[in-house]
Amino acid sequence: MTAPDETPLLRVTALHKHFGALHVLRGLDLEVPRGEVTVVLGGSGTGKSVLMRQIASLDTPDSGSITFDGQELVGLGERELLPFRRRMGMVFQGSALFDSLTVFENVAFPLRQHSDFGSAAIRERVMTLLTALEIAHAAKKLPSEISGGMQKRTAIARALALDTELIIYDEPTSGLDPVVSRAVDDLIRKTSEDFNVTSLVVSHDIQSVLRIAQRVAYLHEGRVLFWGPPADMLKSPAPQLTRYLEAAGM
Amino acid sequence: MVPFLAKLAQRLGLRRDELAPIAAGDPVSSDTDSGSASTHRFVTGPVLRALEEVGILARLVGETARWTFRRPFHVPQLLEAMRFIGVGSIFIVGLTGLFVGMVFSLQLVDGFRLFGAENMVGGVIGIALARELAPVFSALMVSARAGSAMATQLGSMRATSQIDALWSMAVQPVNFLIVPRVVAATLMVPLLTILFDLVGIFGAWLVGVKLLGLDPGIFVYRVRLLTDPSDVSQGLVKAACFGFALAIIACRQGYFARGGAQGVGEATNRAVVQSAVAILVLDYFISDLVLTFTRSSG
Repeated sequence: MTAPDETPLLRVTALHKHFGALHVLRGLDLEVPRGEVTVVLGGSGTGKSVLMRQIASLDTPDSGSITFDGQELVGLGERELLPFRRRMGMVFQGSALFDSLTVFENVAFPLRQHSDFGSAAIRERVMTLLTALEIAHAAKKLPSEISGGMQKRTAIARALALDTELIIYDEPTSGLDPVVSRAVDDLIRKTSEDFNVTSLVVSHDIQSVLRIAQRVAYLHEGRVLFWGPPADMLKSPAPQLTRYLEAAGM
Repeated sequence: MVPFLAKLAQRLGLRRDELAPIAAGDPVSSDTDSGSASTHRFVTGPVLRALEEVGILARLVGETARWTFRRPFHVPQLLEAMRFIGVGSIFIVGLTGLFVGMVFSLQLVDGFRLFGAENMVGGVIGIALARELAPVFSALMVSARAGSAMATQLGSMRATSQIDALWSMAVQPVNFLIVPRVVAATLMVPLLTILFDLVGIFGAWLVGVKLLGLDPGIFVYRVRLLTDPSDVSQGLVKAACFGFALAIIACRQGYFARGGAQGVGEATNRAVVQSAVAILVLDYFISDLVLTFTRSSG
């Protein structure tokens, strides 16, 4: 019997990113343990979404290192990044579903692009995912015909389609009502457990963080000010974090 | 001058990820330069912007050419783009061709009668349609109908992170979105030009022969005598160049659109205007090139 891999799935070291004169990420360090839900928490403009884009290789950092399963991602070319992209899924803030494709076609899209599955196997895989995420009934609908919560479920199903190891969620509950937000939170936790995927969630919603996070990284001025379990975060003496928690009513 | 040259080099030497996703609000062209005086910026700004535009377009052309011949080949996307650009433009191109031929015939018969040369109308219209009118008008119509739609589609995809989603799913957006549209436009505009030629000649015949009383035999004879196959092929080469240009401009504007609905609207506007100007400018230079080549070889 082999021992579980204790090395973090994702490690970010001394990451810097400028936009002109604006220094957004200022030597950021972060670890994302395997199989856990890690939430990156922080106020507006602290660099959360910029960090996600660097991790997902949607943008290039100025300096620093991002390793995924021990492999360096910074500096890789498009072709070298492809296998890593297939192992990561991303759920965008607005879901980013292809509006001309049905829910079924959206989820089937990565399979058609990257797998050798025949149409029957793709159908089975997609319907399994849609059933697990409780949106099988909407398979033939367009994204514009379903609710925000269902769009999020579809985006999660699409991110899971290729046996993903890491799912990155960018503000998954942004713009949703409290009931749907809670359902999405539950879904993130359930997805992480049922599909054994590591989750990295960007959020500024403290209630959401406490519901789903196993680790929290609190971002302030482009650096991680706190990293640890949510219970420890609530006891942190860091004044910036204390102020943030007080403002959030904690 | 040194900061100017440094900025120029930076703008022309686009980053590797320039064609990679651009974050909403990622200020690629808004880098601040505290060292430059405002007057200096006033003078160099438009030049730098123009050079930046040329650099981005050149880079996009290069990327498109590179991905055209690399796997995976997105055949369904290509067929859909051909349907949208080609089949979808048949009616508007046909209608335009009919009326261009009709009005051209009306004016030429009226003008040529002053010199008793109305029998030349068929031949002149044939040459004018084959060399100039059909490729230019077809491309302008496709640009207005399909080019604007392409810019809007890609701009909306940019604004709603669908292009980022493609990257995140390991699908190269230039290969998936731009190559099919550019290849389809390059292939379909020449076919639409042939349609324009045929319908235009029919329109000219309708007005010249049926309404203004030209001799039908002489009209057709002059068309066949004066319109050389090289005139048609010249027009088709132009049409392919126009198709490529209008598609790459529309894709450039849509792909790099920023700023939500307003940004998409502005990108669409720029796509149509720039395509129209590019078609007319290219028309002159290709005509000059072809005529020079014809004279030197003939």
